[in-house]
Amino acid sequence: MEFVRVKEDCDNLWAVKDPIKEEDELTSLFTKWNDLNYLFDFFIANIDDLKKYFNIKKISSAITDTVDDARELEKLIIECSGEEPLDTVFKPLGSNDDYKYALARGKARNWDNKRHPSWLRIYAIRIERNIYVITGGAIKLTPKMQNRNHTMLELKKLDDCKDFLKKNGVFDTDSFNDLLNE
Amino acid sequence: MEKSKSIKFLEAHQAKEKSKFVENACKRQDEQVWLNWSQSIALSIMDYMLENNISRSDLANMLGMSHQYVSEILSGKANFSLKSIASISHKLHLDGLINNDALREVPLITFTDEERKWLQDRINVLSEICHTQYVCDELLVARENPAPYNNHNEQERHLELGVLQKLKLLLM
Repeated sequence: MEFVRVKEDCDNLWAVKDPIKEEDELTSLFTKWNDLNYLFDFFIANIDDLKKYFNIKKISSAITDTVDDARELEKLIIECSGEEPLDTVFKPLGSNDDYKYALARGKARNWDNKRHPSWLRIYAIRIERNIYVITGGAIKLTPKMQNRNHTMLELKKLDDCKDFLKKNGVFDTDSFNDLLNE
Repeated sequence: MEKSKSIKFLEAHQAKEKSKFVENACKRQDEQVWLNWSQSIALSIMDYMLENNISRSDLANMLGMSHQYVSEILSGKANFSLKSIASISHKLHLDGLINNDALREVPLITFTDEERKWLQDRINVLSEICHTQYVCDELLVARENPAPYNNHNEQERHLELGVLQKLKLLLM
């Protein structure tokens, strides 16, 4: 498993890079979210979820929402990988992912999306305070990641990265101990 | 400040290639205006396909175009000529394609005095080339290959980029 810095001069935000793929996980995510061919096929395949959970019937509306939301989320990631604390953007994935535990799984989304709750997700492992490794992302239309194959795959990628980091003894013990004593 | 153990580990496992996330994001921001137009047209065609139960293959046949070009059109990144838009509109009987709201909202393109001066200075340098199209092509090439317009002045670079973007839109 390899990693890339999301921004050149920033140590806080990284992304997984599979050596056999052209793009790292974060770059690939936004390439897909701006490819209308991909979005068209995705929403046709998941039209039932779109109607059931978001009451959206028109594919073109879903695509427009996605592209607009992706634009905002992209700006948020670029801004937050500098001075803004990442811990305010990435939140624990679930109730078992409390940040008091080492290598917690986290998710980011556009928390202020006005039209409807954002369905775009970026997933990451929190290595220590304000340091994250992005493992992937998804268009999440269902309440639980376990409900669909494409979100299940993202869960696996999160766990694979966490296992890799754990196996290599990666978390900052001093920071972790400080966290426990807070 | 000494780097944490985690950062040192990530650096030790850093890929040779750098992330293109920021570069791609900036490109999308720079090209947002024409991308919005292209996406708008793609979405109109997608609505048409769904309403009439037409596949990509059917669409390619109706338009007399290759599957590859249809894919490009539907990606929302096709740089259409007005002629292409008119042709698609005519073949699909889609009058709404060219009377698109996104196109109507595009503001009139004007140059500031500073931009005009910048442009005139460069046209004077390239004065042997008479045709505006060639002048603009030269300027666009110069933008991609910084010399001889290479400079480290952020303000001038910003001015240069703004002028060239407007020229691109005018030439579309």
